[in-house]
Amino acid sequence: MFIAKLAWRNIWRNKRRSLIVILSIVVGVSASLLNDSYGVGIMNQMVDNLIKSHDSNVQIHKSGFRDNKKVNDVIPNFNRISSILAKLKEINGYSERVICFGLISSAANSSGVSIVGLKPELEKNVTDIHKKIIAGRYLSTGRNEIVLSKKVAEKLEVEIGDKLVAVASDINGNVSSQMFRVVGIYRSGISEYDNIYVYIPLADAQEMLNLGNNIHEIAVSIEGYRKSSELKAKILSEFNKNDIVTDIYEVSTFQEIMPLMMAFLDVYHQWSYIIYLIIGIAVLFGVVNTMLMTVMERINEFGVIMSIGIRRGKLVRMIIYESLFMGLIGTIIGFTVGLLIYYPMSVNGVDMSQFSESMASFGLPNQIYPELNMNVVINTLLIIPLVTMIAGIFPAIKAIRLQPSEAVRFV
Amino acid sequence: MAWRGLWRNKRRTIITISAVAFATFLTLISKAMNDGTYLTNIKYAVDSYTGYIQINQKGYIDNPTLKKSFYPSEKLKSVIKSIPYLKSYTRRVVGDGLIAHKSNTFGVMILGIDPVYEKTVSKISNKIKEGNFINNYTKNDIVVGAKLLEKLEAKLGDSIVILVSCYDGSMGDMKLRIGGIMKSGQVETDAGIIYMHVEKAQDLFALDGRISSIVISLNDFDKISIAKYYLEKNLGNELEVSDWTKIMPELKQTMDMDSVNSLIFLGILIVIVGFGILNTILMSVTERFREFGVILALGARNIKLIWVVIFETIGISFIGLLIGLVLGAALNYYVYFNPIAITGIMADMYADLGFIPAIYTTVSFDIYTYTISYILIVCFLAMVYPVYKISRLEPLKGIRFT
Amino acid sequence: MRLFIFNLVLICLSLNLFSQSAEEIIKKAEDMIKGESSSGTFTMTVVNPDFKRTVVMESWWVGNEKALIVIKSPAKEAGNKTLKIKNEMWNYLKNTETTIKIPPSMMLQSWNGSDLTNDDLVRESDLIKDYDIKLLFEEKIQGEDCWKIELTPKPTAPVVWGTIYYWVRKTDFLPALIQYYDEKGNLHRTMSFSDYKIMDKRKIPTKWTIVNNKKTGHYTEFIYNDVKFNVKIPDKIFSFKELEK
Repeated sequence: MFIAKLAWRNIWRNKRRSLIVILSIVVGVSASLLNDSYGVGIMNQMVDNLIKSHDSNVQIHKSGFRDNKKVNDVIPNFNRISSILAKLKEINGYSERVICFGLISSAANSSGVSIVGLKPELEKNVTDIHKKIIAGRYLSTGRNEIVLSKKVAEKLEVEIGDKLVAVASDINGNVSSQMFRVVGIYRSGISEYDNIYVYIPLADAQEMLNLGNNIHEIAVSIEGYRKSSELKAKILSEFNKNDIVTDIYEVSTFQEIMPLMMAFLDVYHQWSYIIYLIIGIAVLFGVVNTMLMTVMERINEFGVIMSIGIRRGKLVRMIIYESLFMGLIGTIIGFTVGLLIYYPMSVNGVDMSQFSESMASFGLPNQIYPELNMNVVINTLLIIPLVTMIAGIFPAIKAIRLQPSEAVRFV
Repeated sequence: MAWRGLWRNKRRTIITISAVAFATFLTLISKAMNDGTYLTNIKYAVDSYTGYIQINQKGYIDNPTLKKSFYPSEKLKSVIKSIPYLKSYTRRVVGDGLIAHKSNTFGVMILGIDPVYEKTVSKISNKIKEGNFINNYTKNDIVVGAKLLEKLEAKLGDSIVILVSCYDGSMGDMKLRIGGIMKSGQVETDAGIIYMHVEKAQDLFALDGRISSIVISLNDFDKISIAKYYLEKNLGNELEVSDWTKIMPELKQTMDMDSVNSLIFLGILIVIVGFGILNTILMSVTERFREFGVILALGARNIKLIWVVIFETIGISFIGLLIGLVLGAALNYYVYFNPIAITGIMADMYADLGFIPAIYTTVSFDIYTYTISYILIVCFLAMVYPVYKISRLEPLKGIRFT
Repeated sequence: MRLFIFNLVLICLSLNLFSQSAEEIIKKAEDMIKGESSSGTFTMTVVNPDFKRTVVMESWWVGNEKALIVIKSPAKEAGNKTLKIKNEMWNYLKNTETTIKIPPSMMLQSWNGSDLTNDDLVRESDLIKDYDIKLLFEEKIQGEDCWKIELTPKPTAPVVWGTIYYWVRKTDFLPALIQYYDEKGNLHRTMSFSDYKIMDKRKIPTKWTIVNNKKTGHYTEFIYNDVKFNVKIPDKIFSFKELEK
């Protein structure tokens, strides 16, 4: 402990020098904190956006529907599934949907779209398109209503109240068409989704496709995208409990529906470690340099200390403590500074609207909210002190190489 | 005197030089890797499909239809042949139609390409998994994506029927053979695009010799605007010239966004290493205040000391800079010719996303000017405080300095 | 007082009569040019600023239920056929001997490059079913007295138009002009009838011109070369086997 106290006092012997080192650590730590939390924020928001805009955490279909969306592959006995889901307390909600590919046209133009038939009161618990309406309103209990994206509305040259005709192949393979009026225009912020999804009442979709009461998909929502696998397991176990044959259905998590997105997340994760590494190296060198200098100029002292009997090991420890303490101080201050900058950004978001097209193609909104999670905190708090500890080693070893007698005479 | 001062305390000088050298090295390779990988990825995307520059009928890019095809006149060809930095060019026909096999019918985009020249402009031919790519011996063969093959319930060698709406509005149809299977890694491409011989496509669409676009590849990525300017001056009014930023604006924006991120990151890096340099220079000056005090007491003027320090710092900076640059350049060149491959699962993911799974560097002049200017700025800034201190130094104070 | 009410009733009755007539007028006009069943040959000319294309076709119609159209010339397209049964459509292509059913996504594409879409061919019959029909007033078209009739789509009718104006000649109940407007009042398409002649003991307009009002210089002309009405057409003509012959 004596050594530690000594180390501490040594740091403050040359305030300016130590402060500069600490300052460099502060910059490194706060930068890491902000960078990582920003990255985490982006990743989470991307995934969240996709889930909340349409895909949801878990989707239930008839087996095979995900790969090949055929109109006649309706969910067998969907009522039983719905009643089971209705009893699950942990979910936000579930939505019954009809999905088909079709053409919608106005007098001016036509566009191939993915038509989603849904019940607004169920869907509202699962997705948030109803919050992304920029003109008009979301679907209500009315019939022949359609909600589409701004992009598609512009392409078709229609506005609220205008008429559209949807054409699709029904369950018997016959061409079926129906009229709809635009009641709302949305903007999900995800280019791909905007371009293809249009929403109509479930009853209209079922009528148009001659599906009777049937549906293609049940989307289930739970808070937090990582919970998707748990949810799937729970659903499957409920199926078993209720004697539902599971292999005629497919229960897919978000990760299974969007494997590319998950890959993207992983890649980003790896990259963030590399960033930490580079920042760590930069800090390391600064600290090593400084420590080397301070050690060298105190060689005389060390010579004295060693000659009065203090063992080399203790000396090494002392030097390492010096750099460690600087590292700890720097980390704590850096962390605090980082937090102070992080806080307003996490509330107000970072404005990326000049990149809005690129953001939208990644499925990101214009405001990014950095997020702190345990991972980030631990990384930031642990890495730099570790680095500084390592930084102390080389100078320390250099210091003890000398014999005490030489050391005393060192210039 | 400055020079002697430097070498009197070798240890100190070496430490300081190495601080500068390391900072230079780190900055140089970070920037080189950043720029290099970025550039390589753009080039890759551009090489894969769009080409550096395209020539089309006016209005085609905004609204690509078969109607907007044009005749490649002799005059046009000669203009193209004399584009500065031209590497190669090729012609393409683009249209859409239906492909049918057994009772499966799907809408597809049809790409008519020139088997010989397309290879010099894009990497489409590399993605063949089975069979052969389009060639001049089997003009009746087409290449389809693996996913489409599955949807059609067909296999290599099967015949399929293509149905299109021709240039003049009539219906066109052809029976063709699946000669090759392609896997590009991107599902939409594999399921929605088929490739055929450009001349066969011209027949199918009744184009009578017209084409949809001319795709041009250059030798130097940085000279795109020069080549584009040349073309705009020499082409008629009916044609328009577009570079990849117009054809793939999302790619440009993504890259822009990325470069902002990396600029911020590099900035932070420089600040951190800057502190390292600052400290070392500072220390090497302040620890000599005792001597300086003596020198001042002997009658030398402060200004002389200042000059000494300035020269010292300049000397150290330049030596450090040089060493850092040499080391950095060495690493850069090595990685330039031997890019660091990313292996394992990450490699597949990268490939799926359309990126190259490797880290590249660049050896362009920019990175050096960038690095040198920043490091020099930091070194000079690091000098300010010590110089200030020296100017205030009084002989006795200096001597008593500990 | 009684006179007043009597007049009111008379007016109401006559108005009623008028609106019923409007529907009948349309029905008659449509029947005039379709008939129970017919067969004939006609020439289609597609014109746009870049080029002109002429196609000769032979066709068989059974009311609006079934139709078969076979291209006779030019040689490149000869042998191509279009078959319509109710509201579905198939194309047979001679070159590859394949029959393709037109999917919904292609319904709005032009039929054989003309200004008619596949959907137009398939859907013509539903005027009475999908629209509210009102007689407006009388007007002269090409020197002939016509009724101008306004057709407004019924609330849930799957049609993109906002209003259709239909002029029917008073003398022979033949259509003279049809204009298609969207809900905002923009004119998208005009179908005009001319060259009224007697064919197979019936008077019909032998030239139908469809003008695309949105794209200048684009129009399609159909000219009947000859036509026979109320012909007995064997059902097997409208089969797939027949297509592939």
